[in-house]
Amino acid sequence: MARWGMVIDLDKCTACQSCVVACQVENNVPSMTPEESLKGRNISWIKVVPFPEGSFPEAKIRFLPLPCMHCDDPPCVTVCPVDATNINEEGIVRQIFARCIGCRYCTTACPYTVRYFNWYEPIWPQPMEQAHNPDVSVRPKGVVEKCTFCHHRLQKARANAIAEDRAVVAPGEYTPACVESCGPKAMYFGDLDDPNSEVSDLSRSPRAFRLLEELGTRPKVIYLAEGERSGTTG
Amino acid sequence: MADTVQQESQEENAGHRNRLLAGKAFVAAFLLALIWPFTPSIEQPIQYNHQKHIAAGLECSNCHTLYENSAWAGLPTADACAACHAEPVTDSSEEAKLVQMLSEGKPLEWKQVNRVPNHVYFSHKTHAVAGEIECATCHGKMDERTAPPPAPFFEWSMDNCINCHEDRNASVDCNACHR
Repeated sequence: MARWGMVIDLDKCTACQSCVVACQVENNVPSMTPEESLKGRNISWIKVVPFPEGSFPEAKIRFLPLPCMHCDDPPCVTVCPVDATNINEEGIVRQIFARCIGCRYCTTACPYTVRYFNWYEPIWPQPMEQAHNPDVSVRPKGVVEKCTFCHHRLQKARANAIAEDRAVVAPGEYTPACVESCGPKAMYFGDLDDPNSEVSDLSRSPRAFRLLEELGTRPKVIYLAEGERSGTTG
Repeated sequence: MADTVQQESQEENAGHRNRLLAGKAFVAAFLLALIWPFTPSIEQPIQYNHQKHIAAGLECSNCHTLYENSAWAGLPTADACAACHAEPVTDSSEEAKLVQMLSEGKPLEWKQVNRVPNHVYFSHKTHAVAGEIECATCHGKMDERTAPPPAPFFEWSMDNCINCHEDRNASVDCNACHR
């Protein structure tokens, strides 16, 4: 059984936001108006978070692409009263939109703030309405949504594997849209339990770190440190 | 004083009548709801006879061309009908209607009968080919149908899906079906 995980190399990431756009298109994420955005109500399953450091002339800014961490011990799952979010045996923290009652306990419990509530009925500019990805459902007003590691792609990959009489999905057969679209190839995706996979190799790198590790959430999105740390150890 | 009492009792009567009227309206609406056709039957442009076509040797995949290799089954286009029915083959009035439509170049607008909710991923290929489930399991005996089905044969509810998945040891992982 695979344990899906992602590695993001911060040295390679140029913060171009192509992952953000690819994700929005792939997962039918509605775009918001600037007014709603100011209220903190925009939805972005992966966002590039800026970390400004120092002040002029030594000012510097770091960027961190932030999808759902798909924690092995997810705090959001513990608080969901209706089992609309849970972790499957392959380590994907799933969100069953049709089951969500919109209580938003999970958005509060998530230390990474990567869960989003649909405050409005989703709307798109007219021609985009017809360009929805048919593999992903459109979430109604009043439910919580988040990155699913593009699990609809896993559904398709698994259907292919079944059709070809294979027990497991082949490496590289299932890749989320953000990883696929990453221009500088800073994102890697695969089976963390497979010792030969690129992600498990990179996850053992001395540059590897996880966000808020001290909380014990055991995230499956692993970052490779940038800058001076990578210069000395990478 | 007496006037006021009379007025009050009149108002009381009017209120009583209103409540009685509302009650009657409610009972009438309730009875109407009981006989109202909640599931209108699905009307197709042509009263297609599955029995006749299957007896003549047509396979499911001749018209539902996609079911063996995609998530969808597919509905036949006018071209598929025109392959045999460019000229009338029988004296059926439905066929005459079809030939008329074909000659006018009108598209055949079949209505989808079976529909799973938007948040469900269902693949015909996985069920019919890999799972080797007979079409009749979900669609009923189409080789006995002389008219298009007016309603789904299978009730597309999560309970029914799960029951079958459990019986056949198929995945009951939420993500196997929900999207």
